[in-house]
Amino acid sequence: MHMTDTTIIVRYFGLLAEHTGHGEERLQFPTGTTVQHVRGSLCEKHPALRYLKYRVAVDTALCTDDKVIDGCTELALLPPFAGG
Amino acid sequence: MGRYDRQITLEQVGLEGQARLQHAAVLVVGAGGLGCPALQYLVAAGVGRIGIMDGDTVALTNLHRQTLFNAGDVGRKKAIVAVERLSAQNPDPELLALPFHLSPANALDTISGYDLVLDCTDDIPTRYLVNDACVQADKPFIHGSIHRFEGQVSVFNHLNGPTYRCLFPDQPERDQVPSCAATGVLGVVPGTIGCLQATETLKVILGMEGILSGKLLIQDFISQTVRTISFQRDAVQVRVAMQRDISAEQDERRACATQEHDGITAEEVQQALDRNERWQFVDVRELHEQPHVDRLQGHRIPLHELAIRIGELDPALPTVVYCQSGVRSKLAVKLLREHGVAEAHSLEGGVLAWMAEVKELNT
Repeated sequence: MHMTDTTIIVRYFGLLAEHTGHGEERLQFPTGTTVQHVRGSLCEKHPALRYLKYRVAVDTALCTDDKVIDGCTELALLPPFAGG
Repeated sequence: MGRYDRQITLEQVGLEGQARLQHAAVLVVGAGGLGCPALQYLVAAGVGRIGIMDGDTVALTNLHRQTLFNAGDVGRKKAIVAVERLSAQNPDPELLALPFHLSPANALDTISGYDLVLDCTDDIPTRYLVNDACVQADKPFIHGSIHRFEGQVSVFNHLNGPTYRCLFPDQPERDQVPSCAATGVLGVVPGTIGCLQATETLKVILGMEGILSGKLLIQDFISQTVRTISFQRDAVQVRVAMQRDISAEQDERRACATQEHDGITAEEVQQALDRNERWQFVDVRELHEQPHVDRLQGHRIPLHELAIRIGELDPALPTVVYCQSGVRSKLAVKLLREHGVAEAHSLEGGVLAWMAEVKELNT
């Protein structure tokens, strides 16, 4: 592990937890990694993610794909819920 | 005098606040798991005028979570039964039963007659319809939704705050996001989320602080953790809602029946089996999910393992993939086709539809 790697907890909400088989996982990314890159690497690991609509929040704020995750601790993958 | 004393005592309510509640007009779209508890508390608090919109009739399977109804109501219109029960609970509010579904044809007209809206619906297209009609009619709305043991609450379009599209700009297809019928639901989950919606409704009417505008509350009922995610208004998405020509649309419920699909019906599968055709069945549910259907026996590969276990399947055989309701199996079909299982079909409506149509259940 490089000294400046970011270790981040990825939390899957709703249907995403079922489709990835995880509620959360701890992952490491090199310095300068963007949310877009994280999404890409998660899709490789969990192909079902490619077909699902979700937003990403980093440390409780919704963000766009160009957000750099350096120094962040939590990344939440949030799909819309239908049920009521 | 008397009924509302305990809330009038609160500094945030007072006599002025009680008068505000009395003069408020609220539309509750959906009188189900979310709508029932929300309605009970709004009526109890003395909200002046409440429209209750739901086209469904009470079913036996509703009773474990839809607390306004009892066994004698099965088959009756929810909106009408709800008005009966709620007017006995508190005769003060003016209650109106709207025993039909929110549709593109009636959305703008109906919503325009109220100050704010509660989205207590249970499918994705209706949630986007509530959003777009509320944006166009300039009404705030209180969103509640659940998935198994998780719930989401937010207040949208409040004083120029963000909208549902600002949070979720890409509308999923109806069958990409499962309903309670498909996933299962413990009554207390929509019960709690519906109460949170009523809470936010009262806060908005009373003009209180801390309203969940620009904030998505997510509650996980297993770990009992609550998170709040902040987000911003997105002018592009507000424009998308504003520019939607709602009343020109045909009812989505009918439109989706004509959409192209890669599904197969329970009846078609039954016929193929009766002809002794060789099919390969793949159950992509989790291993604990019930019931097992004898006639559909084959591979059991939970969806999240499918990509790595695809080699277990014979790509040359016609393949039927199924899950509980037909949502996960649709995704599975996309994956299988990408991996060379060309003739893969998703069982429409899943095991639930199979049981209903074929009634050939064997646990």
